[in-house]
Amino acid sequence: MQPEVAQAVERLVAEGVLSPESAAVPLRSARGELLSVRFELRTLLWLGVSLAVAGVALLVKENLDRIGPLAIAVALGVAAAGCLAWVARVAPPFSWDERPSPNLAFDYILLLGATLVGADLAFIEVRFTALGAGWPWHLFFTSLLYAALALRFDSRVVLSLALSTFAAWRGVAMGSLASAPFGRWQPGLVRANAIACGALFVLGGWLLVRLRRKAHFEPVAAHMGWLLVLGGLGSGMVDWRGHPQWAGWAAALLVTGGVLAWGAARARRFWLFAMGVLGTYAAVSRFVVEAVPDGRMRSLWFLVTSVALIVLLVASQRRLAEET
Amino acid sequence: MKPGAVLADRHREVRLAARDWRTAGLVDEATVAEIDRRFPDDRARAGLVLRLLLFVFAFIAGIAAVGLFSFIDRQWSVLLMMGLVFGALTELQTSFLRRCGGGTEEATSLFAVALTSGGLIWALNHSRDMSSLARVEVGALIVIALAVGAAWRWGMPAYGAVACVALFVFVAQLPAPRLVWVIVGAALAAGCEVVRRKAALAPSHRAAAGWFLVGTIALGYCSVNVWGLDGRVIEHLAADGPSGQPDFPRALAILLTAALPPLGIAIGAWRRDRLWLWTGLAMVAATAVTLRHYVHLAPLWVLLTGIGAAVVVIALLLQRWLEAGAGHERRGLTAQPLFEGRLERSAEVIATLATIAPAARTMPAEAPGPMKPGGGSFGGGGASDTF
Repeated sequence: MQPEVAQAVERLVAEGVLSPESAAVPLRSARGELLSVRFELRTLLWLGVSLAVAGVALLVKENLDRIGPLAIAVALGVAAAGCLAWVARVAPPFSWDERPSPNLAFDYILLLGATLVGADLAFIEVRFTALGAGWPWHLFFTSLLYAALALRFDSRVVLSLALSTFAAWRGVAMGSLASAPFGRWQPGLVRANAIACGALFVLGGWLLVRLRRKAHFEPVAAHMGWLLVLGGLGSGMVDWRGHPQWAGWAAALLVTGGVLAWGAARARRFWLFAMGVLGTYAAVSRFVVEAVPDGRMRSLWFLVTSVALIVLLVASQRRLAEET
Repeated sequence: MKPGAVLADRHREVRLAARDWRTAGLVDEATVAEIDRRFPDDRARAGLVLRLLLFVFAFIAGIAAVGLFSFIDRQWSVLLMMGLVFGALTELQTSFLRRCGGGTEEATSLFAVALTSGGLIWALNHSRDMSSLARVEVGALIVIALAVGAAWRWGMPAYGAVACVALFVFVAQLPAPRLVWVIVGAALAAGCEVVRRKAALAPSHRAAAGWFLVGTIALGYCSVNVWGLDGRVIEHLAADGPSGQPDFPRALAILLTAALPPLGIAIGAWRRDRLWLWTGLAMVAATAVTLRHYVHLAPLWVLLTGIGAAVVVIALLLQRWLEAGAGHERRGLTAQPLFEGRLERSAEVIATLATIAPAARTMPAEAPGPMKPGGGSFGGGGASDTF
């Protein structure tokens, strides 16, 4: 119930700002006479799909010996094919532009089908070792499949899955490479791959916009990409504690975060702006913490700079013009 | 809240509703501008991302200030003094700078309530005349008073939940806490339900009553949940720990564990109230977990897969049933999109922060389109797909 909105609608109709026809539904909604449960239904669908996928994962893990690997692989494949067949049947024709979803369940059944395919491929790889020592490659092929499904059925959720699977492939592949030769974990390789992956995603997103091909996918790629880039640089800054190398990582984070914040502010992309500001602040603070051993002075630094940043952000609030 | 803040609060509700109507394609940009002109909002507000950013930096500044003063002196009086300073800062921002929903005043209010409570409770602990039970009771009362004061004065709804939790801690110290909370909680829930529908109250105060109501229902459910009863969860909150037999019949706890979730959903559907619907759904999940704890009906994978499939089927059947109603609605409930823009955006923020993945795409019916009155068809509102 929103009593002031109900009163306002009545006033706006009386003053001729709203027509009685256009005011009818808002008035019922504000009086609490009408409620849309669409959001709740979507949440239930997402929850149902997540539970089902978790159940399938547990089934594979716990019943491998009892049911038999072939039966599990076939069952997963049939279930995935069923989901994807339904999706293919009801999906609108392919387009490089954004396409509306044909119904409420479409995205969630697609997600279920995609995750079942991923689970099936992973199971086949683990059980039958089709790729042998090159087993991390199955993640790469899965990410390609997800990307194809995302493109065909215009799903940003599945695209997000494709990008995270691709990043996981680089992480797993480099993790096994990094630890193999010397028997010692070398996070540098994984970090470099994370940064490269992030840069690739950002570049991919930029190309999508530039070529006007699924340009609405760009935010997914850009957000994930920048997060990987900044996260990689940040981990370099933290991991090299006690070694002079940290300064290089901190400087890279400072520059990258600064450029991102500046560019995002100009483009009014607020989440990227926030990432850039936080990255820059973390890098500058790292230099200060290293240079100032005294706890009081460190506290003073965080107090003064936080307040200064607040003043700066409030002052530039109007220019940023984020809708409140 | 000062009268000016209350008026701005009311106008804000109208302005936000106008933006939802615009998203639904019901009104154009010029109409929104006209509504903004007729319902002016003189508060300094920040957009969602900037608000979060400002909150983070104000929080860092607050932590740094506490750290700085901890080097000078570690006394309850310092903590109390800092709490009062943060309270004054919040007052300065909300009254003189007219900030509202701007991130910084929310962070300073948090420090004001936390440090003032901490200082007073610390001072109480120095008192040798008081028992530990009395200290906890008085401490809980202090937090209740400060949280209610913050919600009332500064119009910050989340303090409603803080006050509710503190009240629960207070009740947990009393004899027969479970029974007391069931009675007190039911009375408070009924009171909150009335208060949050009072047009005379500011929207922020009504929202605070809503937060308090959510806390009351959640803690009420925890009180009567049979797993919580067997684990003596509430009794462990008491300063002197659990003693004697539980104060609540187990059979009644089993009955209420099963009955409260559908009751919550039924109230939500009957009153067309999202708060009750969500608390009801949350209680369904909690009851399912409780049931699984006691009764092993089937292997976990069967349950997860079966429940997941059932939830999907139920959601789809519910949608069809609502769509098949006259004017695509039944008793004022509809599966058509209306004005859920803010709700969808909040969900997107959570999804973005949690997984960096956006919500599902815009549905065709959610695309801007004309809406018709009279219980006929509805055009669309719904999710924004922009960050």
